[in-house]
Amino acid sequence: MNATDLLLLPVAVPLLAAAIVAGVGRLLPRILLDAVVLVVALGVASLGALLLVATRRHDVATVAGGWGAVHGHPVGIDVVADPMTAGLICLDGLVLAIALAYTWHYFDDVDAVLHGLLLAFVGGLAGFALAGDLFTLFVMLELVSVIGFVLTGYRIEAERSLQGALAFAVASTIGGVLTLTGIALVYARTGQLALASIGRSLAEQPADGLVAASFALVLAGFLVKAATVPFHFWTAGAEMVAPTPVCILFSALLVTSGVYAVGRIYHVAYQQALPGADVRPVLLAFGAASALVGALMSLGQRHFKRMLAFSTIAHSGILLVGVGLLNRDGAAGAVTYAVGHAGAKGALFCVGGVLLSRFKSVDENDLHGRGRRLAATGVAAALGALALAGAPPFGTGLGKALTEDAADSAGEQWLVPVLVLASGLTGAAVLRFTIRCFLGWGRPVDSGGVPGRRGEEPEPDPAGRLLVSAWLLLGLSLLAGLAGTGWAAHVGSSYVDSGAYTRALWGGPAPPAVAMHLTGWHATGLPLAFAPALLACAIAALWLLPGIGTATRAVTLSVLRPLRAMHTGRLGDETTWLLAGTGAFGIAMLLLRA
Amino acid sequence: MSALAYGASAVVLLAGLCGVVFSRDLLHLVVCLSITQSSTYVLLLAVGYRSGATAPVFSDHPKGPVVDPVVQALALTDVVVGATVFALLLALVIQAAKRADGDVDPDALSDLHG
Repeated sequence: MNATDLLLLPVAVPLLAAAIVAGVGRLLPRILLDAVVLVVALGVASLGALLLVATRRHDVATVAGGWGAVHGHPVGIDVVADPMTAGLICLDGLVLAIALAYTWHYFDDVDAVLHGLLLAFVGGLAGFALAGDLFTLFVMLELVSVIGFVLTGYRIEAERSLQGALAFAVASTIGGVLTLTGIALVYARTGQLALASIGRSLAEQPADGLVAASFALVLAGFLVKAATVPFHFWTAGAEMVAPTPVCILFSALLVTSGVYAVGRIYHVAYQQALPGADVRPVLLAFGAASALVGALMSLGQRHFKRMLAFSTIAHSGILLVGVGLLNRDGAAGAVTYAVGHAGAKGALFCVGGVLLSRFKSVDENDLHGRGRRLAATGVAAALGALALAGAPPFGTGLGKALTEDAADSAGEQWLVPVLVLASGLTGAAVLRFTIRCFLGWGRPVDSGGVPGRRGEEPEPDPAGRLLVSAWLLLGLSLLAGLAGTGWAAHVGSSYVDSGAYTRALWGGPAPPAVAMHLTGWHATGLPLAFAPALLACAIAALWLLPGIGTATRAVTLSVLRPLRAMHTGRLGDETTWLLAGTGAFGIAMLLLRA
Repeated sequence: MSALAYGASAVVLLAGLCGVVFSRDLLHLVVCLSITQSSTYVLLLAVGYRSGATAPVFSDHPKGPVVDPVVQALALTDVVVGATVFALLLALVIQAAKRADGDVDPDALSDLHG
């Protein structure tokens, strides 16, 4: 069997299985249904692993459609796998499997639809990773979004599920329209849809405002998925109301895929036309803004899942910083960070699920001291908080260190304190919640200024299986930190190398291999590596110490007032910010060119 | 002629977006979203248009210049995607209307803020 034969399987298998499960799933006994879906998820992960092996030396590509070659160039739909794609597919399968293990006894009345939706979601994400042309990327984006907002509003009878789903649907639809407009513009200029062909065509002519505008528009839809500020307004609502397994998939996979697409589209299609000097500052600015806004907002939340949602926005910003450096080292940092974050955030959502099933609430004040008996859950939450703060040896720590090194050598030293602050603040928020809930320290505060968020939908008790998923996910995060930097350097270098991508499609001589080396954990970096974790502990202590706590809270809330005022939850405001973000992106690039 | 088509697409896009931003009714908002989506059909067809060319059908036509079939395929796919999205959005609106006795002001749904 050829490696190219494997390429379409990660999309076809879950989508077919989804159709079958949705069609005949209700006739199957529950245990069989769960087993089939779990096997498919692990199958996707193994296909990803096989592709990782196949792409060890060079990218693997095929041109689907069977049209043959015209003027010496194959015509059809490009499907390309490089180590980044393969790794993403592997992560998709693994996280889905763990989320399914969580779902095992999740909904008693589940009618196989949820299983089908989860499978189709991951099939769409795999297609997203493999797509080698803009229109396929767009279609996969829409597929994933549609399933995403069905999953968000899964418990449609609850009012808040409806709101979250609507916010998500409106944002992703407008993002999709802007992306399609951008695709039409770039097609008008180049007559191509395949990323590699667009890249070749754009390299042959001088880039002008139209190319820059098309880039900004194309990215809009993907930045919505990546939850980049100011495209992020749907995230907090959706992750607050969605069922726990869906939150895991959103935070660990959807957001990561959005950031992946940004780098993929830039490196393969636009790199020749838009020099890095014009694009890098814009991506870094958006990434840094997301990191800071998300981190500050997460510190101001009482609702655990909403806190985690804002921290996802912050961590997605850190990923965008890594990818936005537009070099191998930054990409290597982002990959490591993505795996580390997927594990840590997934584990924390599992903790949220345990709390929902036990206490029917995830409100910090409601739960004050009530988690004392749940020692294991508390330990998982604390470890998750440390992982969010990027403490070694979690993957987030290594990823952050690599990104900081990359920023440093690219002359963007200002990013280092941004990453430390964002990691520290999100860690502090979760640590504060953990200590209050599981140890009962500090005084419960009244909800002055913050509307109480009661009326949660209770989740059924999954008989302790929840925590198994949490430990598995924490293990994943740990693995990313301990696996060294060799694989990350490998993945990062192929991600930014558009030459390897086009060679896989069109052939051509390979350049001599370059030795790759990345410094991983090192002694001189240790103070910086532990800085955010210490910051997190310090901030959490400020909130909890008697006397200072009230003052800290008052100061924080007053600092956050303008930011919170931005998050009105209105669909119109969400749309306005989305448009303003796209406009700002385009104008910033044009100004940098001038 | 083609400038007119591009202009029309831009006007439709902006009109739809304005509607979404200022909407006071969820149903109205969904219709505005679908107007926004329609702008992409106009844009795509304008991109592929050639004056004097016929439809890209070859079986019973004399050989001659045709308009770009790729954009038509894209527009068709987009119509299908749009149908899915709007069917789901309308389902959500119906749920919202059921809950709120027919009042579907999107601003009434602002529990998820701050």
